[in-house]
Amino acid sequence: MLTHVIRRVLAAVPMLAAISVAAFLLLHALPGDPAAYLLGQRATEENKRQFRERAGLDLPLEQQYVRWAGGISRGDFGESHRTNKPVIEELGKVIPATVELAVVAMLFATLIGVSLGMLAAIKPRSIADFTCLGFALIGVSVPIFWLGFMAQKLFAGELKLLPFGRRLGDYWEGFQSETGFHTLDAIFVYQSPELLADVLHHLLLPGLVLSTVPMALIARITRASMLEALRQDYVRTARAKGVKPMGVVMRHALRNATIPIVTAVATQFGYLLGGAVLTETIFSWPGLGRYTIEAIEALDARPLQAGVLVVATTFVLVNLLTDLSYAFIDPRLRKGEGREEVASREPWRARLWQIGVLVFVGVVLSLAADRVLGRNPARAQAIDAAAVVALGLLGAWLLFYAVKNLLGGAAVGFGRRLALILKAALAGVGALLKYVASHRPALIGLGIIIIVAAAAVLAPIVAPYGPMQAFQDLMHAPSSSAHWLGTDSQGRDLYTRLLYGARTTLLVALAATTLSMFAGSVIGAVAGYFGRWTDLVLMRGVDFMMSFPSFLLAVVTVAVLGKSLDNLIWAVGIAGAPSFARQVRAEVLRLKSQEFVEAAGALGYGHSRILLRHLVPNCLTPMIVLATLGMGGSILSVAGLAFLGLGGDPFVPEWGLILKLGWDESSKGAFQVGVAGACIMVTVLGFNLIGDGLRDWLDPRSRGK
Amino acid sequence: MRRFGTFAVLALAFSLSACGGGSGGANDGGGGPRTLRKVDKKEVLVFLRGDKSEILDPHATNSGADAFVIQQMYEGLVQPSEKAPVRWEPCLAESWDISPDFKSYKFKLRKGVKFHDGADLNAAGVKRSFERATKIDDKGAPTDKAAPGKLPYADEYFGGVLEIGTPDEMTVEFKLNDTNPKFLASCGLFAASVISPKAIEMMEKEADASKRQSWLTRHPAGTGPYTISAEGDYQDSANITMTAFAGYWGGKPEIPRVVFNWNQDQKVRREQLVSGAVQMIDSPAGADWADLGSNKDVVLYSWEAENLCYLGMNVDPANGFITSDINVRKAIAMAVDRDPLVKLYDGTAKAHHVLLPPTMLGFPKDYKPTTDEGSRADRLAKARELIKAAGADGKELILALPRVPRPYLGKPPQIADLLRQQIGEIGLTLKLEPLDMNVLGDAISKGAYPLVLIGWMGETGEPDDFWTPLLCGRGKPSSNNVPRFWDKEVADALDGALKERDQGKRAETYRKLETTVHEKHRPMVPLLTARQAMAWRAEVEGIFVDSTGSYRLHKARFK
Repeated sequence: MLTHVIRRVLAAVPMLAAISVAAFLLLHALPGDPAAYLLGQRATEENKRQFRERAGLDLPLEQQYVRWAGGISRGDFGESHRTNKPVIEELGKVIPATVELAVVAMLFATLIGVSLGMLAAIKPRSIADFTCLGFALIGVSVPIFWLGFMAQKLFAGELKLLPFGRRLGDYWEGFQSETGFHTLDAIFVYQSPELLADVLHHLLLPGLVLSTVPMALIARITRASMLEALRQDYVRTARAKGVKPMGVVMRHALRNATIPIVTAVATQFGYLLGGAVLTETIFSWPGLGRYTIEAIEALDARPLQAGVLVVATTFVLVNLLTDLSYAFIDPRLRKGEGREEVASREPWRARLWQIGVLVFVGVVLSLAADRVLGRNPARAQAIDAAAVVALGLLGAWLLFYAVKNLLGGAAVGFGRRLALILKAALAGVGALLKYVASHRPALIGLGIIIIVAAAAVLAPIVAPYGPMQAFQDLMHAPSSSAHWLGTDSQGRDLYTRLLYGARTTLLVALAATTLSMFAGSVIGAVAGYFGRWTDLVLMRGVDFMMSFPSFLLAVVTVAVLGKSLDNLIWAVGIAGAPSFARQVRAEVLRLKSQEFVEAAGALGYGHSRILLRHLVPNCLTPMIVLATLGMGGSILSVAGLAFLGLGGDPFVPEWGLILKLGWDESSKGAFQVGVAGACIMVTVLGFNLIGDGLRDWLDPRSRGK
Repeated sequence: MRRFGTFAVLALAFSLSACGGGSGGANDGGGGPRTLRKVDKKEVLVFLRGDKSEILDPHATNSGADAFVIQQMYEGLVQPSEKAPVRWEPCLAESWDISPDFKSYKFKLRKGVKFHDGADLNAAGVKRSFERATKIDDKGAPTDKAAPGKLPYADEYFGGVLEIGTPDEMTVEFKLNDTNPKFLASCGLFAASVISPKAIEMMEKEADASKRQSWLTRHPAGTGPYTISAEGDYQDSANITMTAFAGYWGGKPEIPRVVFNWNQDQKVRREQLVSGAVQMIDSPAGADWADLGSNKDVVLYSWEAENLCYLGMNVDPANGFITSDINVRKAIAMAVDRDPLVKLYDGTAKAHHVLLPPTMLGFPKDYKPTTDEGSRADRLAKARELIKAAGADGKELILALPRVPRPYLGKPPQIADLLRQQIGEIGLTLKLEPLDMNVLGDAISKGAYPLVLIGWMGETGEPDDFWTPLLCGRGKPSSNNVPRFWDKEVADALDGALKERDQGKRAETYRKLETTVHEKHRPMVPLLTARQAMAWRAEVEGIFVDSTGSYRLHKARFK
């Protein structure tokens, strides 16, 4: 066990070093003169020149890094040009605020999530199970800023039960935080139960709102792990021996289901420490996520570097501690044994998803064409037509590839091959449809996505007006026969904009998810296949990216690249890539030792052929599941970025932007916020339902349960 | 036991995270519990704002959000009148003399004024405060040489001060190196607030530059009605508490405490005001004005602010845009229809046709440029002819705009899009390019775009603060001069107006200039002026907004 601990701790050291280099380089990655980011925009050229000289910005980068890192090691994070204050002083305030909120949110998430998950697992297909699943799905599908505002409006505005936000009431005279943690201040410094009650009162609503996503994930993971554990032989044995049901659940099943749950809790806690940006914004919570965003808004380099450094370091440390905690939980790890992963899938079924992958490629190509040719509306139709042709061609090619791949080497004629292919494909589609038909949630999800996709594709035909066509006499018009959903602040038809918005939203999410999938798969497959140093280097890179909460990573990427629709795709795509890399690597590692791969090696096939023809196609199944679930995440990320004012092109209708524009109209935009929010939520829900269904379908253990 | 281990590890993770941030407390603590009092709701005015106040040092900031808080605690020699147009009235100075050449300003100070830290107001103190405000290498300056550029008003407003004399204990005399009729207004800016000499002395002793920079967030040092009285009052830029100053020369404010909170979301601010969670909010969304106005529990106060939203057209042939042709500029001006733009503001803006806002001296009430006269159909027909004659038909122009809203430009993308459609009707294609303000500012100073949608906000009520930066400059277009327009006739007229003591004659010069510029050169299309507003609970009275748009809280009280 000691070796395990030492190995993990040592592995974290280069990671922390890499994070510090990345945080340092941020200053130079931001477009423009670094001196402007350190002095603020009012500094003159002469000021900047003097400053560059004094601060050593003219020195070689490595010397600058040593200087900067030396400062950090002494607790000197530099100074904010916005506040004129040392960053360390500000961190001392924002970090405790975030930690306090994250701890409360995690308490809610863990207590409620684990209880719901257990209840669902103990009584599968019961009301409790459906409630748990439904709750979990909605929890991960709703835009959190929207939920936060609604909760605020209800509990604080209407019912007046809870405060709107902030850490403490305004009526305390003489309060000064000693520890940074208001709960600790109330208990130890002021020893005031009334103050403690006020602090907790303020923590309740943001804590609950922030807990929804982790709660949903924890509930799902608990349910899945418990279902798995409850099916094991030792549980049956325990039951046969007459152990009471509660004892079986708590002592046998829960104990063995703990590792995934602890992983989920810790990972989510790590995310909350840096990723609570949206909740902190709505609830005026002066935390670290908000601090980092404000640094981006004000182009304030030192706080931004510090924020990124602290968030990533905390995330790595939390993950490290989680890893170490396994040694306490899992006796096998304590004895130095590894866990063997065994699972078998039917390869032909996985190959069907090649079609899906190539459709993604088509969409990316059409998007690239759009970018290259520009967004001239006159060319839009031509591009759309070209995209359709490209997709058709790709589809035909795909069919050919599928035929060749599936029957490669078989000693039969082409006609026979085609017949076999069609039979296999029909059988696969039939099985899928049969499953979907019997799996109502997936059916609903599929229905939703088909409707949304149809709206997106048919927008130019179905929409009554152009997306930017403004009726200047009809601003904020209510719904009518001419404008079914009314008009927005510019007199543009809301129904039309939502239809076109579906197009942009789906395309951006698709492109971002495809980017994640391709980048992640290449890295994961190469790392898993070649192993050794390649694996070590690539996966440390992935670990490095995973040391940033994905939303914050997207935010920082937008800050570095600039605000545009294309950069939004890059930002969300890059942020999502590491999870694909991990998944594919795990699959490749599993498959690598299987006979068909060894046989391919024995036949003398090259690495590229084995990778592309044998390994990658067999990894597609879990990738598609991850991509389907990732679509929902991408849509939410894009909406979240738009809400923070970091969205893409303000002239291209996109659901996040439509929601934000309605949001800025306050009471007059309430309906717009409602429908755009509903579109986002329902679509994300659709993807999540399909993703869950696919996962169940592809997992023989959960099928039919 | 093992389960306990799991939780112990998580707890350790939690504590480590906590340690990472260091402690936030500034006091030494120790001993028994600290004293704490929960005050009555009627003792506190909670003001929820859309901006934070990061710097509470009047000499070290140019942020309006900082200024609003600073103005409750600090005062200058003169102050703006309560009602528009802006007039400069006595404050810490009871009276003043200005030399005929505008090179000497002599102020007689008010007697019996005390600073929050107990120091008395006198000429030496005022002199010391101005030295700190203007000299980057002053020992008590809120900055160090490492970070120059942190006295934002020093050069522009006080750069011409040659010498500050103190003929007697209660008289201060400023000698300037050049004629400057605007110096009196400069002395009323928040950046000219007088800080206690005692506090400056303390700051001089503070060797740590960073602590010196935030010194005024922890120590009382002004003469105003409210003060920061304890270290914890400035929790952070989003949560500031001020207490009433018992020794205020104008009488102690009735509400003992004012808390400034922050939430940038207009929707959230509105909800909190309506529910009674806070007593006051700023900048409610235009769409909410009607609702708030009809709510009997809320008072909505709106006023005509000194601002202008306009479309700047690059006139400089050196930049190579077709807008250097006067006929193209006139055609664009004719194509613009202000009514739909104004509608975007939900009735909180007014169509505007000239440079100066209506509240300002020299506003030509009866003048409207000829390009804006007549029916829209006629104007469009004429504009199309001009475009064809100029050979600009079908040409593409880039319209640059700020990416985020400005006080004068509430919805940049929406307004730009309407302009694109309107100008598209005369045969020009507009490509919209939203930019971050720092990039846009740089592009403006270089004349990088043919069209820019932008605006301006005044601070002093002085017409020259619109004319010189926007349509003139010292010998060449100033950095904020979007059209890159400079004309000797205009420059000379502005110089003459600045030195003119007769306000009637000054006003006449500015009125004539509007006609000259818009008829002869047409470098910009003024679009609208936006009203501003704030709202408070009906149970509070006495809040007012002065003629420069700053809110004042010292007369506020609960009914």
